[in-house]
Amino acid sequence: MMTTEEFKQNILGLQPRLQRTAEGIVGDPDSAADAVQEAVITLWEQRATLKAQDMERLSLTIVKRRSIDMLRKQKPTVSIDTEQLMQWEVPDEDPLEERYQLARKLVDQLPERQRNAILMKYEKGLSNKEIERATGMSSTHLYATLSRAYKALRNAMIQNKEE
Amino acid sequence: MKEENEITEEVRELLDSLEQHGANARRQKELSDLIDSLAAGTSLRAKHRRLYPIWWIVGAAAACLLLWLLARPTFKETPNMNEEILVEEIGVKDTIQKENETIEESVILEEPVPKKLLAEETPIKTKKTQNQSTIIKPTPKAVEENFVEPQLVENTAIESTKPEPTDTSNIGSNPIPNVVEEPIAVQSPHRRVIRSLNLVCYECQKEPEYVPQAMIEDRTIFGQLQDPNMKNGSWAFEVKLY
Repeated sequence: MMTTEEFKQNILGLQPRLQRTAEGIVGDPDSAADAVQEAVITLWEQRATLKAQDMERLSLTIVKRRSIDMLRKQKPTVSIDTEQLMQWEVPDEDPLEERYQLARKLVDQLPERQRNAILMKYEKGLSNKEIERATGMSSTHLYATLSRAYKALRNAMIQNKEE
Repeated sequence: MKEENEITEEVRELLDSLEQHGANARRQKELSDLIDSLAAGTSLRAKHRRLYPIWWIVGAAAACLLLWLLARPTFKETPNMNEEILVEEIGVKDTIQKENETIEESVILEEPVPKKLLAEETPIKTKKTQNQSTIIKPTPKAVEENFVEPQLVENTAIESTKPEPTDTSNIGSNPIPNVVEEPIAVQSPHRRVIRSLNLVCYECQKEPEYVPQAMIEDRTIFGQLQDPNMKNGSWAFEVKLY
């Protein structure tokens, strides 16, 4: 029987692919996340008989089925080709990964205050008010800082293109 | 201008990728928490499973207690009934003893009446008749031998049934007082006792010298305490039934 830690490691490793698969079927990231969570619960209940090598295949199948069910609930009048959707495979590599790496590289070059503001806003998903509270900046100061950060990123992109 | 727009678009895409990556990280965190809670839930269920035997015992004990509580009222009733029966039995025993005494002393005692047999107009049935049948009607030989005794018995009875009017201190102390009745010779045939009201009625051609006090009980028929004045005899009732 798989331990909790093993199960968690396997699932968290598969999560980006499962999310992309669900998102590809449902089209909505939040609904896709729900489908993944439901699939994880189903897998947890079956973990007594679950093998690590079968986990990816089984989890993808469950996520696809859950996503199709969700799609049926969301669009009951639209005909869904279940067979085709079940056959559909998402690429293993995340296309956003390359762009994320570049963004992270450019952001890291920014001054500390600008970097913190950008990471808090985009990566952590905090609102402007929350950032103001966390950094102690005023709204005008934050607005100015973010503007400067965007300008610096644009310049960095131009430099990156030229290289 | 176009290039600037493209760069701006590229910067936006970069920032979107940052945003998506952040959202994905948050989802992973949620998933991790979900797995932890699932693991905690199963461990909690296992703990509950360990507790099941204890709950079974507690449940069985509670059921037994409930049954005992349900069966208890029936138990409660029986002592009261026994009490009543005991009272009656004691009364009967007393009467038997008295009866034996009356046979010897020819004192006429009234049959004990159970407490709850009230609210009825009942004519008095004294033991006199029975006693007379047993005592006064002996065999011819016995009549000759014990010829003097019945008369003596009657005389003593008359003397004994005349209670002193001033002595009323003991009235009410006995829950079922054995009223000492007058002998049949003195009693009129129309005499009636209304036990529910503790009243005695006399209808005599020749008025008796003394009206025996009514049988007074501690409580009325409605279960209320009697007026203490009743016990002192200041309240005397005499009802004539025609």
